[in-house]
Amino acid sequence: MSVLATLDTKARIDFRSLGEMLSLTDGNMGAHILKLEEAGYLRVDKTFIDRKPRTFLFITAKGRAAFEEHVNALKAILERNTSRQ
Amino acid sequence: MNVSPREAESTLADVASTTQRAQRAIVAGHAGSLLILWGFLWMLGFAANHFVRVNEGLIWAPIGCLGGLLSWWIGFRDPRPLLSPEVQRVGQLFLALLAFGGIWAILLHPFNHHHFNAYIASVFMFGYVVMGLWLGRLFLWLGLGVTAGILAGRFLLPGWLDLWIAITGGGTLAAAGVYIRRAWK
Repeated sequence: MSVLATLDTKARIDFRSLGEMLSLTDGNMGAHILKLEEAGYLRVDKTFIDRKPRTFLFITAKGRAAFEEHVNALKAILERNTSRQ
Repeated sequence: MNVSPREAESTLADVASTTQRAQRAIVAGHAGSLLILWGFLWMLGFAANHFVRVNEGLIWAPIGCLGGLLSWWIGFRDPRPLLSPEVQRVGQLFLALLAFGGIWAILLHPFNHHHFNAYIASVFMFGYVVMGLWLGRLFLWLGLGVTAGILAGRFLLPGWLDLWIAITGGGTLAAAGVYIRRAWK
């Protein structure tokens, strides 16, 4: 969720910067990114800048839709709970 | 979805917090350094206009060129890890302001020396207000606050307007830049 929340700001983000922002190790990040990429929620772009390899991450339209659907579902749970009280 | 209300609330709070951190990181990319740079250039330029009685173009032309070169260097020396359409639009906004600011100056000529300097400052503060509408309230308040200061100086301290803008305007920009570099990571 945090990965998609970061990318939901319509930004591309560097792999390492995302890990620092979310306090995740490269290995942990890699596992999450792989799952999200396999689900079609993320696009991974590997390139070279000043001869250094850089990996950038983009959220896909499918990923943004899934994220919004999940957030709306969580809000609905809270609203139902509030109306019951 | 088998999630308790408490878990839903906690997750939504995490999402809100993470989204805010990401938005700030996007903006902080170069914003802090650029604000500090232009804050000091404003202090230099407006103070020079107060103490040295020459055509303001002779002061602002080299400062503008230096500022432009250093801004380009800050912007391009290291491709930032975070880019967004809004941040890219900001560069285009300030280029458009530079062009229209020049056109308006030609159309409204002649200016009183002090009023021209205040006019230029307010044009760029308009840019910060627009930035604030796109990127966050800090820039909105920065633009509005410095503009209010310029207006106050224009009517309350007309003979000291340039020095007033140097200290309050330039100082505020530099302080905002320092704040962003420290607080928005």
